[in-house]
Amino acid sequence: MRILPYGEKAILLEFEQQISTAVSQQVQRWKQAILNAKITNLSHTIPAYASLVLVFDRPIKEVQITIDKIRALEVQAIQQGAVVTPKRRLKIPVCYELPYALDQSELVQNKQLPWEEIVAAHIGNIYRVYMLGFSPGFAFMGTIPVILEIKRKTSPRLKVPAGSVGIAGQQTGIYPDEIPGGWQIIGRTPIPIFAPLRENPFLFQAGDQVQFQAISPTQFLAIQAELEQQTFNWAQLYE
Amino acid sequence: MSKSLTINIIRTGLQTTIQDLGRPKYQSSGIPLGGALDRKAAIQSNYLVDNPLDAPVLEITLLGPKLQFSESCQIALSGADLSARLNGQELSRYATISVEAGDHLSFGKAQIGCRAYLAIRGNWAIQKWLGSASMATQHTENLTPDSLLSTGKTIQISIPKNIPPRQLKAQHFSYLTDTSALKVLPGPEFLAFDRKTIARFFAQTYRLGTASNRMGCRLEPSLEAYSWPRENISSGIVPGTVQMTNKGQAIVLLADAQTIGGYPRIVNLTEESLQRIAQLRPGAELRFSLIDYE
Repeated sequence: MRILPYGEKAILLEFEQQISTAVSQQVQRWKQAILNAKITNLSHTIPAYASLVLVFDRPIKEVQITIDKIRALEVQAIQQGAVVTPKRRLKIPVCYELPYALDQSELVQNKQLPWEEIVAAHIGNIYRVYMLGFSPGFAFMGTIPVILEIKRKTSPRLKVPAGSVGIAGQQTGIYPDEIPGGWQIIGRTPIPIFAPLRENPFLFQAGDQVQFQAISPTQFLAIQAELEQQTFNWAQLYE
Repeated sequence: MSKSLTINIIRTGLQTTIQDLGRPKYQSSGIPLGGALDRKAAIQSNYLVDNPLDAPVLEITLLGPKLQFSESCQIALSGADLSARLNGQELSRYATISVEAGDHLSFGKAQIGCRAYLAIRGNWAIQKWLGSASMATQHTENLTPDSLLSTGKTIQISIPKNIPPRQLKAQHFSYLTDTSALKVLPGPEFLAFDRKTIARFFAQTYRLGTASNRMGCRLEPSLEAYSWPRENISSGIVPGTVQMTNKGQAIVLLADAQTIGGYPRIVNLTEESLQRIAQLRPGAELRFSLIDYE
């Protein structure tokens, strides 16, 4: 595990670079040990799959001293019992057809597979939500079947339509809003992922299990209409 | 006893938003820090009117608005020189200014810098989200409806007693005319870049691309024949992080940027460099120079 300075006001802890439950739990344990240690001027943390950023409220003087203090918390981190337990399973409807599958040709070309097989691989897997980040409510999910792994786009889009389902590397996720992004877009869901005025604004939480279901463009529009008229049955998303 | 001031927005300008020092503790939910891009200038403008240093201010970008004040009050301008005028008369920055009821504030040509900050002494009646008045980047109309200004909108401020005027000397804003290379620190993936790429990155004179905004500065040109062998696992982003996209384009991430990213992080701007880049106009030239951690 390496600990390094990250700009003048942050420190990065980097664990084994893989998307796995074991590493995810390590991140959570270190986060808890650090919060318990009440390090001076620490403002907040940004946990990710395999890393933890510590953000301070002012520039860190003599950063190596702080890094040494953090490394000395290893025993406490190991002793933390924090575990990310599976919470709920959600079924998310996704239309994998045009005009929603924005990167269909790039995916077909790169994978040298028919589109039906690419879609089947995406929906045939149960994903774990590892963390929220990047944008409010954006849930990072893993792990993609190996045959679907693909690099980010060489040039990120300035605007990815809200609800777009993307893949990059071993990850998959859903864009909650129209924002810039570099993931390969395989389809789109009509379900709003982040609704800040909803009682619980975030559809996903770390630890959720997610499975995708293919729907037609007609079904996509029907669900959108139900959402607008507030007749959509949200219970159907949960098992 | 305090009186109530109404600011009328007669003309919006290019991008006039309300910012404070952001909402720092929500990044683990994917909510960007937000807040003034030139934090030092925002703090200085609040100091000049004796508001709390994290009080809301107007962040005025390039083409300024036209405002009218319903009551007398005290204001201060900091950051960029956008040719501010009070009732047509040239107005000083970095000093407490007394405004009379009915006065107009307007702006002209951008002379120095990109973003000006206007502090108005008093308590701003602004709807906050997660403890901050800074304009939310998404669902703005629902979350921070008061913070994106448009013609016809008003701002209500409750005005306390005046303070003796204050001033800040030129040394406090000399960074606005500094054209030296921006100091940067090695980013988390710095050592994973090959030496040629590092050399080219620092040799290059960049221009601020026109697609730059509060989320990030896209620098031009991209590095030619650039390749990155691996797919990074997404990791936390702090303002000032410089990502290199797969096409070799450097993007300097700012306060409204995403909280997690997967492109390699080549360098991080120092706090001083962040202030300076917040004041660069699209098309401006910049270079980087590497310093190390203490």
